[in-house]
Amino acid sequence: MKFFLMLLCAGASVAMPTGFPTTEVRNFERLHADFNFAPYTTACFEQVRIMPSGRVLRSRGTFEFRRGVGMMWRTESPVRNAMIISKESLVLYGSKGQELRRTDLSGSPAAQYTTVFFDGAAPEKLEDLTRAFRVTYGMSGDKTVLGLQARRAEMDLHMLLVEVEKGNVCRVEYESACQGHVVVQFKSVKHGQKVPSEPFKI
Amino acid sequence: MFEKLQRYGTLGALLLLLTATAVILLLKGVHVQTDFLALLPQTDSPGGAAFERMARAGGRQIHLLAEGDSEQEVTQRLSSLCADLPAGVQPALGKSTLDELKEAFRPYRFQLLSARHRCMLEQERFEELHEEGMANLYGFVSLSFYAADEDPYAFATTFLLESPILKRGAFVPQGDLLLAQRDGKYYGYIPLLLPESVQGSPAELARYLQPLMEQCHVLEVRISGTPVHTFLAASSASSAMSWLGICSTVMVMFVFLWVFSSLRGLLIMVLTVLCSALVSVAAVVAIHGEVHILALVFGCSLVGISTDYMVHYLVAHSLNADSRVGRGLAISLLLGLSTSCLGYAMFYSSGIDLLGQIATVSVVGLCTAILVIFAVYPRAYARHVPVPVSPALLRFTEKAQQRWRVHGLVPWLLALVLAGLALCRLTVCDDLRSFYEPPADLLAAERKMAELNGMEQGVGVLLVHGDNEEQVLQRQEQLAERLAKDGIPITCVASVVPSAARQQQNFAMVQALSDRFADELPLDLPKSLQLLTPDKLFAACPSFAYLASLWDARCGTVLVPGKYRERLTEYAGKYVQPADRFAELEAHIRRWRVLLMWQLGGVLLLGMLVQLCFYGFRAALLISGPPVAGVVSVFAGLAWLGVPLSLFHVLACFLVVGLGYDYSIFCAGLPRNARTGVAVGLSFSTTLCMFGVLAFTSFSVTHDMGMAICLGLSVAYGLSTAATGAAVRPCKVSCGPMR
Repeated sequence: MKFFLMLLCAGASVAMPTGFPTTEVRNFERLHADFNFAPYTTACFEQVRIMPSGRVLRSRGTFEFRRGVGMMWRTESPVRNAMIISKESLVLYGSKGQELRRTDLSGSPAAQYTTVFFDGAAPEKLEDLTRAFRVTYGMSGDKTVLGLQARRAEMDLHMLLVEVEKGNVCRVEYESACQGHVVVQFKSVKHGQKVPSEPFKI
Repeated sequence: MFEKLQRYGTLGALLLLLTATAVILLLKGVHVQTDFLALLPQTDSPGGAAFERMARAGGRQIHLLAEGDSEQEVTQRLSSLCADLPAGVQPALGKSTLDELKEAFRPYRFQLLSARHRCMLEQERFEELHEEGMANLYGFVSLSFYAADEDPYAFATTFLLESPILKRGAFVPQGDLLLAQRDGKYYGYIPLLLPESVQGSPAELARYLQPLMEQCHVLEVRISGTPVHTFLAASSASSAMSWLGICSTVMVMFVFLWVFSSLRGLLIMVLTVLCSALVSVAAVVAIHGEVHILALVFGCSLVGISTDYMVHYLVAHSLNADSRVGRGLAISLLLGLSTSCLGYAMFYSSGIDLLGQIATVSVVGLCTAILVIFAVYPRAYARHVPVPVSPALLRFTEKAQQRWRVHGLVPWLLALVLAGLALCRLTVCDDLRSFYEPPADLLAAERKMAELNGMEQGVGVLLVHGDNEEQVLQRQEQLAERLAKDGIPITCVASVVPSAARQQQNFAMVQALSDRFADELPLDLPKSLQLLTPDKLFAACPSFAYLASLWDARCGTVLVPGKYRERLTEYAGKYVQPADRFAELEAHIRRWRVLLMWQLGGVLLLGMLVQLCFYGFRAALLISGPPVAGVVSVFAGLAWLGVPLSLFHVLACFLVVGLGYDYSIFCAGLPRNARTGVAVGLSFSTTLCMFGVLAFTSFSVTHDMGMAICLGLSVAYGLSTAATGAAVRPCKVSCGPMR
């Protein structure tokens, strides 16, 4: 897991996808207002991953976000598994909900990158990202786009694009040396103001 | 005959000696050894070799630790420090290191398994592994150092993350540094590697460390590591020594000028010391091949005692119009020389090269000084005698002599009483670590580093033996499994490079897994297995110098956190043995100290025998009393102050014996008058100026020696009047009257 954290801090010069914003962020308060997702969000996703070898993997499932707690990424097709990322740990679950692997994140300073959005995308945390990434944004109609472009070529995460429409995250795209090119489309996004107290349901 | 020998023989001998010195120095040159590691006892044991390898690797590594309220703060401070590193200094674990590491392991990624993955494969939990692999592929993020489809099960990634290379206590590698968070504080750590040239070269070390330490001070970054200790100890000792050296030289010159009011005398004194030092260095080069800086400093200081001989010559000629060395003075000088030489010559029998070098410098230097006095002084002073001596000092000494007279048995009685005190309360300390007290901020930096590394109490060491590389790796793996069961984490080469047998086994298991899920999780397995060996890894990753220092094809070192040190004996066996370098060194130093103490006793006894031969029993008893009391007072003083006796106190006692005998011999052999008192008093003052000031240094070695010399010599000098006139009566050997 530690490497994963490194990867998140890590990108390279890569051809930016169409629509990648070019305006550099100066006002992080404004960005905070746009990306401060609702305390509780659920959505369905469709993911397309093009592996570095060129193999294409398509999957779909559900996504659940709880502010202050973490997020769950549950793949339903073509395989069933789940991943829960919190400030303390990253846990992989198998098809029957059994825990496959747990990685402790407590005490890891890099966890602040993975959890930027967990606490409501605080302006100072968003600003922290500028050390490793060129942070840009763009607006088109109701859509606001946040772009992260790696400052150093040797970084694993080359770029990340997050599209938000009317306060709902609708698309995420990223390019990584190890994980390939990933595009995630979110649908059926629902919000709630109350974060459930029970644990994530695998 | 005596006069002819003195007139021509000594001059011829001196010229011969100087010619030989010039030839030796021209042909061989002087190689001054400055490597302090070379001084440590060398052992042929694998443990000794292992510790030496580790010490040499540690001797180049320094640690930079920044503490702050945010990650950004510590990262910025460390980054600005690293942006301006002196040329040649490199980060030991930088961003390129991770790439280097990934590339080095890439060809072997299907044969390197973490304990967890190995266990799952052995138990044939293929479905679980399959699920994990699929989760890695289809999850939001995958867990792999390599492209996800290159290592879909994250075998090599997990192996590396659990290896001691990346698992360093609370530290997490991030970019080009290691970060930790504890108690609301952020810590950034960068290990730096100094160039090879710093090994054994204080000047090179200072060239790199001086600017780096200044930068660290400005940026509030803590710096630690063995080179920092070496640098600080050397600079603290050298600054203390240069200041004190200047002070003592000025004091000696002042005393000399005040007493004799003669610049000629001062010049001749300097030339005598220089000549003795040159000849003695040439002798060391000829006999020992090279000269260690400590032997040079310590030995040349001892040669400085030769000024005493000159003082005796000048005082003896304060009324005498004949510049030749009289028989009485000659015998006193030769007796004084013989006791000093006997004392230092004893060092040869210790078998310790450094002490041997000190003995050579001292014996040859003192003999040369005597030769110079006999050969040159009568000529140099032919038209300048009698030498004037400060009348005020003569009057003062006369009065003091009238008031201070010690009974002949007082030194022995005092020695007995003090010996009782010493025997009751004296403690000893032979621990190498106690000889040097690092600065508080360096200690604090090391404590924090150790705390974050999970090595609060240092490291415990186990040595694993084998007939070859494979056997050592296999035995390390077996040991690692036993220790892991008891929850003890380890660092060893086998945790990064598995044995060939294990690599083959791992590869076969991965192959079986790959065949089973070839459609969903295809693996690009090589057709034939290439083995990863320690040598291949160290060649591919030069920054793993520290890990390489744990490796020898017949004896591998296993490190465990120091808190488990006491439990290591549980794992001892035929091929595994716990090792403690400090305990080993302590035992060596103890042996040296005990040996030197016996030799000290031997020197006292020999000195007494020499006096017995020349002056008879009563005089021998009276002459030997003050040096014996001087030595015993050192032990008693330490006992009273609660300071443990160390090797360096014992070394200092040799000087007390040599000079203590000199004082007594001159008091005993020369008539009781103010001039004798001035000569002995002046000799004592100059020695105190040269060595006593060491007591004011903060460096424990020189401080210990200075303390012992101050105390012992003061007592020996104070009691030397007990021997006054003891040998003036006709002695067994006809020595004639003093001129």
